[in-house]
Amino acid sequence: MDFNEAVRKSVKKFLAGKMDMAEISKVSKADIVYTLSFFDELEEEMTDEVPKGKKKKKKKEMVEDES
Amino acid sequence: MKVNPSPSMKGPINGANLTADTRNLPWHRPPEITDFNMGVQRMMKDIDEERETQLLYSLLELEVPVYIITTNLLLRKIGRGIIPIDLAVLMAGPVARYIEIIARDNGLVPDMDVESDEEPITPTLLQLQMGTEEEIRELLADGISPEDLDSDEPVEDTEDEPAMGLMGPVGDMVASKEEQASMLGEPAVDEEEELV
Repeated sequence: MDFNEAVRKSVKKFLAGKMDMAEISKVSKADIVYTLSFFDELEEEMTDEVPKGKKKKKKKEMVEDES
Repeated sequence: MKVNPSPSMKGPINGANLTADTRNLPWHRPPEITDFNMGVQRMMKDIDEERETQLLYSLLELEVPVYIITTNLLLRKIGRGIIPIDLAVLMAGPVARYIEIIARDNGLVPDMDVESDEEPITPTLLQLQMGTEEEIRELLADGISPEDLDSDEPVEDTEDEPAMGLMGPVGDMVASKEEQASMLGEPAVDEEEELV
């Protein structure tokens, strides 16, 4: 098995939620942070996030319109 | 006294391992990061850099599978002596997922296919690679798939020849009785005389 194949299998396992926690805990001093649920939450945060720049622009535009 | 044989020109130079300086290669030194969380954090931080992001978006737009992008990113870190190989394999999942999130956030559709694209090995495939069966090539050109060719019933023996070993006679090359007798050193006997 080459490195490419090993990475492919590792990604497949992670996305299927079959992460080998025992193996990862060997190379982790603290609790594992970057789990599948962490990335799910991150994705939700990023998709729910309304672009702040647009809001500010709208406010500025409104002020300009009023003036 | 034992005399050393003359050194082969193909062999290594005696003592080369003692004189070569291999200590300065990054992957010969202890890696910079050995912790899983720190490793993933470092990868995410590096991906967020402008130059890396440009490269990432370009690869995603070219529809390169995410696991291949992940492999390249990890190999670069291994080559620089930042992470060890075993940790890189463990980090592959989180890194790939992060790339997927970034891609989707920017309106790109990442190729997350991680299934093996290797074709199953079939007799037809082997014959095609060996370049021996021109008929199969013609059939394939006619639109018949390799699966259809392989699913055919096994070819039956057309001739009812008895099974022979390696030492068996080849075809009709069987010596006549006279020839056999001469080979055995017996005097040739005519069939007519025998009857009398």
